[in-house]
Amino acid sequence: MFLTQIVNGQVSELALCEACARAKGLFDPQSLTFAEKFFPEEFKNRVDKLVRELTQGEHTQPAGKQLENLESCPVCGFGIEDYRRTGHLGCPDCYSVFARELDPTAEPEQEEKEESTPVLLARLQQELQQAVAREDYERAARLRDQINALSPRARNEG
Amino acid sequence: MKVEAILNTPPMWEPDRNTTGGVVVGSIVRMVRNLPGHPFPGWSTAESRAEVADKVIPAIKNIRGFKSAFTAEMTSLSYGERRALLTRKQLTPCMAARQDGCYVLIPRSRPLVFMVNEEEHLVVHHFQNGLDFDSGLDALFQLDSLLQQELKFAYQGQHGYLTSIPSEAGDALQLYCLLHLPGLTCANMMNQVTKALEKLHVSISPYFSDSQDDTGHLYVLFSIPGPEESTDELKDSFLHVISHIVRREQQVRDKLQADPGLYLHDAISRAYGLLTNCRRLSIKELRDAVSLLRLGTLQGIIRWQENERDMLIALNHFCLEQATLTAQAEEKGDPLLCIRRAAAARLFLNNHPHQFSDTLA
Repeated sequence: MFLTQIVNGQVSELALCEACARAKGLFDPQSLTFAEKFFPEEFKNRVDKLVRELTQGEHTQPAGKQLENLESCPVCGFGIEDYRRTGHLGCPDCYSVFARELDPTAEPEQEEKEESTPVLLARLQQELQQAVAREDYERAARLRDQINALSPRARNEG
Repeated sequence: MKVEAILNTPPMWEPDRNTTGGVVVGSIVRMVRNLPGHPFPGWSTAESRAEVADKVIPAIKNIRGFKSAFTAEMTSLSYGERRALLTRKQLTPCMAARQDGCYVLIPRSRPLVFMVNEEEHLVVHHFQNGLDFDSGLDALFQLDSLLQQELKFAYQGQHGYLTSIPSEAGDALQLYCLLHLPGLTCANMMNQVTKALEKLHVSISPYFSDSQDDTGHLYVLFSIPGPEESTDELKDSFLHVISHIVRREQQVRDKLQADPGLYLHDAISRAYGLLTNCRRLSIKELRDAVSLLRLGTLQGIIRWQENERDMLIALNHFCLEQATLTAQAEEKGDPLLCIRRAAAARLFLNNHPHQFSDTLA
């Protein structure tokens, strides 16, 4: 899909793939015409915002990117596939468990600060298994040290 | 307090005549909060919902003025009672379908509804006449502070207040507006308006049902919060959209009224004729006809002995009262309901003296 905006004689053109156009709510040309006709000011603001986002690199990948995550929440048992299917989460702890799924750009360190210890431990253990399975022993050793450091805290919290 | 006491209280919707020409009927602010360590209601067991209710309900009742609020577990309400509360917007469709461990609390002294274990652990709706979100936001901020003296809500710095749908986390406040749009409906423009609104992240749905054929020209407008959008930003952009719709509706009303073919006068006279003469009246016929009488009142085509504001309220109440009775009666399958409804319409018009403007004479 091609979007052309002319502001004060300056032309800016954007080319969007079908998935991105859908994600930005810009796929149905007929609806766009209605929106421009009925709410010209609001529509212009929205297009301006979209152009800013796309040209300033605030664009994010549409949902569906596979990321390394826990497969299910240790608190409520809700699975990552359930979230992808329904768009709902199972409990407030799911925000920490599925943090990377919710915000692919989040720094892992930031997530870990906000995770409760049992959730963080469960995630690190799963990451350790995955690292061992792909024979990434350097990463596995770091994860093992992190788990060992956290274990006394988990016992105290438990 | 019994549910009858709630259903017999007139709903409070009062059109905002001064600023929106009677187009905006009411404003609703919705606040959502969840407790940490408990699954969201859509993913929880009856035991878990009971634990949440045991924490949330006493916290609400400890607030001054809410001790005697009407409180009912959803299992104790009949299908008809749920439908009646749904018609009055005192239940959400999601809540109306809920069962064990889900409660509704309605204080009589304040325009509020608390829903415990709806789609979230606690959902509070604040109702206000006309176009006014500030009163609702102020009331809910105060209520939130009082509740937080007893309850800890799930909150994360990055996301704000956590909700079962991640895109709704943040301030976890949503805005709804009730609109009377007979002009746009009669001009067959609602489909275009709906499509245009979708592009602005605003949804519009019929007030009474899911059917576009049975709207009574009343609609609920809902602003879908964008990611990281603050409540103030949401409110400002929503008010902007509402003002566009109000302007468009008024333009269409004036255009219809100026039609040399007397389109609007004819439609209103037919509605009046139906209400004064029919012996059987469906709820859809009643809703559409009462809506046109409201339009006739606003456009000065019908003049009532009572003042205009009181009549607009009376017409609203009559329509919602009949919708409530219908919702309750359908459960029992009352075969005489449409006959009684026609009689009620004749009585209503007899009790409110009126005359048509000179244009019709």
